Formats: sequence, structure tokens, C-alpha cells
Amino acid sequence: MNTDPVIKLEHVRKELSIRNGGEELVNTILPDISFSIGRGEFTAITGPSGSGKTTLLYLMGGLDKPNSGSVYLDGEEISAMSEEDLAEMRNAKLGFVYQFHFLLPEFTALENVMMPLLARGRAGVGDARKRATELLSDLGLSDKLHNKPNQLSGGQQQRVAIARALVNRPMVLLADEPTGNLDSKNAEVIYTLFSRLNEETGQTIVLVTHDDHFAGETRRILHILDGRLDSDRKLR
Amino acid sequence: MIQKASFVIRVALRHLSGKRRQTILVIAGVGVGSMVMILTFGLAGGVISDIKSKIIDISPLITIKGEKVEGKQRLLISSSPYASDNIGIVSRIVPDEKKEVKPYTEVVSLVDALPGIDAVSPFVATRGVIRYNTLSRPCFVKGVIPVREAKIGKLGQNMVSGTLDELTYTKNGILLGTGLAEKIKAGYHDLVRFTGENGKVYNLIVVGTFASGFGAVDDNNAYINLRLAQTINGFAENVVSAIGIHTTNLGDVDRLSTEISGLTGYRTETWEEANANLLSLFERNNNITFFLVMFVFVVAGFGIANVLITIVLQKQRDIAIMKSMGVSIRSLEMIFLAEGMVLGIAGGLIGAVAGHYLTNLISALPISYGPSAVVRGNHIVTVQKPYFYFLTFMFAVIVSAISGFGPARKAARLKPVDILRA
Repeated sequence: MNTDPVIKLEHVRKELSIRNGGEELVNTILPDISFSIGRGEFTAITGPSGSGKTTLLYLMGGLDKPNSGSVYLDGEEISAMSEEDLAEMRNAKLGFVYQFHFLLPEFTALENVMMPLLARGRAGVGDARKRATELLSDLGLSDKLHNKPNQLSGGQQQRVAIARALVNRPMVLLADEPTGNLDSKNAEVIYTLFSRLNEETGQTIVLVTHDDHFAGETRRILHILDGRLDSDRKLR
Repeated sequence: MIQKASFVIRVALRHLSGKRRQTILVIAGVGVGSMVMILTFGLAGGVISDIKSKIIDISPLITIKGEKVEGKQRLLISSSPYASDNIGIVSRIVPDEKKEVKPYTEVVSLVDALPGIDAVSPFVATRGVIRYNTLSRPCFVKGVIPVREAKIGKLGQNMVSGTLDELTYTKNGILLGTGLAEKIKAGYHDLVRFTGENGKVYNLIVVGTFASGFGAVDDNNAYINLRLAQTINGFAENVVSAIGIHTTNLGDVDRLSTEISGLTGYRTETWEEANANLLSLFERNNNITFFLVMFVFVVAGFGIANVLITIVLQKQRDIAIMKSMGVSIRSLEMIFLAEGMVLGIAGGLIGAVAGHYLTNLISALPISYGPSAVVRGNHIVTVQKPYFYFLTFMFAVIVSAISGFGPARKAARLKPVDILRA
């Protein structure tokens, strides 16, 4: 396994300010956290709710910015990028899966998956369609290509969302409680899928979960407690 | 670039077709706003154009007044005839004389020869009291040569009873305005008595009645033959009080008016100058209407913006998701700009067609303005001009585009997490 870090956090501090009437309440979510994730790693970030794990994931994906400290992706400091550069970077290097599928309701499964490729003209419509069809077929959705999200079950929706996250061959797949909304049977399908992806293609995956069973399937567990790195265990 | 544009258009159209009912509702909203704007334009423009067309129908476009441009001069002091410079002081006085054009035949033939002149009609204006049985009314009487006067306005078409020709061969005939005829209860071929300014009483026969559309004219005016009016006013046979002129082209009026004044030496007045009072009243009315149209614009604009902004706000989460998958801020802005424009164009076109038919419908309604109205009529006059449609359409498209673009621009610039977390 290549241990060259693909994600690196250095002394990251994140505060959230909440305006309550006239006064501003500052809530420190991550006081000071540093760690790195290597290429091909399959990492779970665990911790109780409110510990700051989702915020951590958003910072890694450039969806949010730290108050101080730096976040590096593939050697570039993404915490210093503009919104526009971040959008471009995400399109080129990242794939996201959220707790909710967040598929665009007006588009079919196939179109949702094709979108990251078409958004910046990364591929023509024909190539994008081909790639998306392959991915959806791999995920067992070959008969649901033209269904709209509301015509799919929860598990199917989440699999479409995963296909969308993978369509542009991202360097890192970031997942925020991807099974949080699924029953155990569907959750199991997603676990297997993630493991297979990591083993077969060497896909770097960082996922946030409070499901110990799911975390146990990964190679490394970062446990977060009150915004601090509580433990860093390598499995297998 | 082309791929990006096609992506933007694909997403925009899909948003619109995905929420079909909402889309139809917004288009209908934009359409109604545009329709009302076109109707308001049409009605506002119609009022003044109605007045103008009625004025043109009954009055000469240019009138040669019985006043000399130069006036009369009297030498007060002059230098000695032997001095090198011949300096004199004159007083320009306009004595209290009868307003008259003399000899009118010469002026008429001068003007008749000018190109662009349709008709020249000399007339004598006089006043008097008309009486039938026991009812009497003061009135304005215009002595005319009927065949010439017929070409000036639409007196021929405005006849309610009798004909203009009958006046020609009835030396003591009189045409009464319908309102005047009603007031003295005189009808066709009734014998009326007219007392002129000279105090003499003339027995006249009613050879017809006319309705011009102007209440004040129909209630107070009458026509007699030129020769009779000259007699009443004590004018010689080659004297008239003024000459009415009609030009072929309405646009030539101002130029010809100046030309005729220079040619004849008499002061001339165009129909707009003569009716400045009435026209300025309606111009002012039009200015007020213009502000009302502006408010209709604003109200329609708010309606359009309101719905579009709501749509974009509903799509805020989708904007954050698209941004998190790497759609550029510019593309996001363009998507909603395109949606706004599509809705604006569709609504604007529908509104233009609906506005056209609604305006036509309203001007076809049989609504009559009673006899006491300043301007009489049996329907609402409306006007439709290409620029009404152009302005309305541009407005609909621009407001829609801005309403789509503005909130999308704001949402696209937020960090995706600010929307996703909420």
C-alpha cells in the first residue's frame, strides 16, 4: 500500500458562530487536530454525535473552511482556495456520498450519475452515458437507469448516489453516514460495496459513521471525542 | 464551451419540465402581467389618439387667420431727408379692426397652387341667437362654401339628417349640430329664426343636422352659406374672416403652416396650436396614466420576481449539491438565468398575444359616452403600437432573468455546507 498522504490536516481549528439575538455564541468544534490519510486507505471516522466528525469530513472535501490551520489534498492546500477553484478541485478529485441521497429530483438515475462528467465538459454525452451505465450496472441497477429518484427505494437511491460519487474516478471518496438512513439489509449491501471498491480498485475511502459494525469493516479507525483525536487504530 | 452551454440548458429545461405545474403557473403570471401592461398602454394611447382624430375630423389642419403678421406701422419721427442716414422711428400698432382676409379669392388661389394641399375652404365666423317656436339658443355660425368645407373635415360623413349638397342650393339653409337642434327642438325642414350680430332677423330653413363627436361643437355650432354670413357680418364679397386648409399629409402641417404664413402675410395656426388647451389637458392626463403604467410594471415585476425567487430558493439545496460535485458558480448562475429567460420569453409572448386580443375585445365592447361627454363615442378607442409590445416583452424577459439570476447568484456563492447543514 502506498503510504504517501493524500489528505493531510495540520493544526486545524474550526469554530461555528451562532447568532443568538444580539450576542454571538462561538462554539469550538475542532480545537486543534492534525492527521493524514494515505493513498488507498479505507478509513472510518467514528465518535459520538456532536463530536465534530462530519465537520472534519466537510473540511477534507473543501465544502467548509477551517478558522486556522491547513488542509491539503494531493499536496495542494485546499483551505486557501477560492470557492470556484474548490468546485473545480472537487469535480476532478473528490466524490461525496451523504446521509441523504441528495439526488436531483428532476433527473433520472442515469442522468444524475452522468452529471459530474458533464458539468465541466469532462466527457461528451455519449462517453458519460457509457461510463454511468457501466457503474450503475456494477451496482446492480441496470434495470433502474431511467427511473427518477422518487421511483427508487432508499437502498437504490444510495447506490445511485455512490455511482455518482465514483463516476469521475475520484482520488478520494468521502462518505458521511452513508447507511444512516437505511435498514440493516440495505446497509449491508453498502458495506460490501465499499470494501469491494477498496480491495478491487484501491479506492481511497474516508467515511464517517457511528455504526461500529461498519467501522469494523474498514482498515483504520480514527475515533474523535470532543473535537480531538481520541485514538487511531489500524485494523488488519 | 459548447458542452458546458448544453449542460446548462439541459439542466435548466429539466428543472422547468420537472415542475410542470409550477412552470405553467409562472408563465401564466408573467403572461397576465404582460397582458395588463399592453392593455394599459393601449387604453392610455387610445384616449389621446381618439381626441386627435376627432379634432382632425372636424377642424382644418391649418387656419389662415384674419391677422397680418406684420401689423400696421405708423411713422413717428424721421430724420431729415437730406441727412446721410435715413433713420426713422415707427410705432407698430394693430388697430382695433375687424379680423378679415381680403381679398380672399387671391389667397385661396395662392394656397391652392401649393403642393401637398388637399383642400382650401374660406369661411366667415359669426354669432347669433337661433330660435324655433319659443325656444332660443345662442350659437356659433360658420358661413362656408359647402363643397370646399366638405373636403376639410368629415362634415359630409357626420351628417345625421339632410345632406351638405342641400345647403349649397338652399341660400337660406342652415345645418344644425344635433345637440343644438335638440335644444330648440327643431328638425329637418323646420323654419328657424336667426338673429345676427347686426340685430337683423333672418328666416332660415334647417337642411340637415350633424354630429361631430365633440359635445361642445354639436351643442353650439351651425353652418350656413358663405354669402349669407358675409351679409350678416357686413363683409364685402371678397372678404372672409379666415381660411381653413387641409393638407395631404399630417406630418407636413407645421412646415406648410410656416410657408403659407410667409406667402400670404397672414398669421396661420395649426390644429395643434388651435386646440392646445384641450390637447394639453389630455397630455397631462396621459402623463398620469404613464405613471400608472409604471406602477403596473412594478406590480407585475414583483409578481414575476416573487414566484421565481421562491423557485430558486426551493432549489437552494440542489444548488449546493451541484456545487459539491463541482458544477462551477458560473454554470449555476447561467442555469437559473436561462430558466428565468425561458419563463420570461414564454410568458411575454403569451402576454403579448393575450394583450392584443384583450385590447381588441375591449375596443369592440359597445360602451357609449353619453351626450354630456366632452368627446362622444360608442366604444373605447385603443391604440396598439409595436413598441408597446417590444417594451413589455423586454420588461418581462429582463425581470424574469434577473429574478432567476439574482438569488441563484447568492446561493451559488455560499459554501455548500452552509446550505447542506441547515
